[in-house]
Amino acid sequence: MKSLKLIFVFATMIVANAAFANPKTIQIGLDGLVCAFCAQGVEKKMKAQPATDKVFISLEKKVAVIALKDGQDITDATIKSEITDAGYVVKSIARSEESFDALTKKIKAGK
Amino acid sequence: MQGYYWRDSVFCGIFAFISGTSGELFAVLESDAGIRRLSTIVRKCAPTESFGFATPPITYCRSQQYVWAFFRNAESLGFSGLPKFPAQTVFGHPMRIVPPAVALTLVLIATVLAVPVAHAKPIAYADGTTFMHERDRNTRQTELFYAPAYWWSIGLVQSEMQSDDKLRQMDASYAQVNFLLKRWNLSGAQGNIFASLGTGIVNSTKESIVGLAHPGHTMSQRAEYSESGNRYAIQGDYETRQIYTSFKVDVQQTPLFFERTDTGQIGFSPFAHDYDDLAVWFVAQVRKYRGMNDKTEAGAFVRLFKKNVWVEIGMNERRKSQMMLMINY
Repeated sequence: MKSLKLIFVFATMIVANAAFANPKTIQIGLDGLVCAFCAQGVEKKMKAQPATDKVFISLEKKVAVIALKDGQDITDATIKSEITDAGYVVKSIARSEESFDALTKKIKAGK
Repeated sequence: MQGYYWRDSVFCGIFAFISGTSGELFAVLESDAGIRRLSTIVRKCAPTESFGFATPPITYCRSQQYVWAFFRNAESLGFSGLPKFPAQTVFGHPMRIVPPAVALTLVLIATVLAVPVAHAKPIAYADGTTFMHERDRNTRQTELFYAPAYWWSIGLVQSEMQSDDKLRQMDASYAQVNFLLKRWNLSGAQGNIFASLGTGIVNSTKESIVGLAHPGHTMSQRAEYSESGNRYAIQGDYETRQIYTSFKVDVQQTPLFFERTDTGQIGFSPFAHDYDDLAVWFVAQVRKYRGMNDKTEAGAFVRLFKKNVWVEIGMNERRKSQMMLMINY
């Protein structure tokens, strides 16, 4: 029984690690994002990343959400560098297993 | 020449459209002699010379090559020298006539597809191209810039100005560089300071009334200059999603010509727009001209902004229209 518990714990850890290793979305908090032109600049930079599938931007929540292609990721350093090159400031970066649609729906709903 | 034709046709068509008059005919005279003759008649019969908001019997706009005229019930007022429409000539000079329906179509096309604004930023974003067109009673400006990085852009500017009395005109083409000197990225707000430096060719004309040839006809002397010139501008703005303020100082200078235009704007949006929304702004503007025209004008306009297109339409306190279009791609 004890060995079964250990196996369950290890299995959970492996699944959890796998999820962090393969995030589906990245949510970036930004400063200075007040108009559509600002958003366009950020969107263009993020869409140019090979790992990017889709981009959503909310001026209200001051965030950009990137949908990642399967098994791919963008490093924090790259995100910061690209956003800085676009003329804006990164406040936070958070990866998530949540799907792009679910996350953007949640942001639009103000949650 | 053709460029002047269509641009001015749309320009004057918009004014005629705004004036709400109907039944006018749009005519263009294609010779200096025709322009002088018509100008004399217009001065005699329509001392309240207008660009279309008032409705004198004849309203006209003058560009460097053409006079665009709006004839309205002129014959009933006894101006027998005017041609009967449709006519191919006026005072023996070639004329093109654009029917009202065509003029209104041009207006609609211009409104829907074209019109570019006032204090649009000269740099939109890195690797972005910006097309901008702005016009009011005294100025027309078209700009095209490419930004290799978010902090600078390079491009071309075509600038035209004329004095209120139309005796002085300027037409300049510049190669220009714009720099973002400073940006403040705040939580929910942004501030910017831009500087622009341009160099190019400035053509200017100055016409002086030197005497009276015979009753109703004046003699004038016209001087034309073509010089190398420079343009300097500094621009600052601060905006949130509902408040907008900006200022701009724009100087164009040659050894013989100086023009400075200072513009301040403050605006608000009734709702906080998001990226996919149509942003609607109401903006008040004060503009001071020094040089060709020494005057200060206040105005107000509506700014519509969605994704990569920005349109402004408004008027100043003298009810002269102002419009701007900006497209980024």
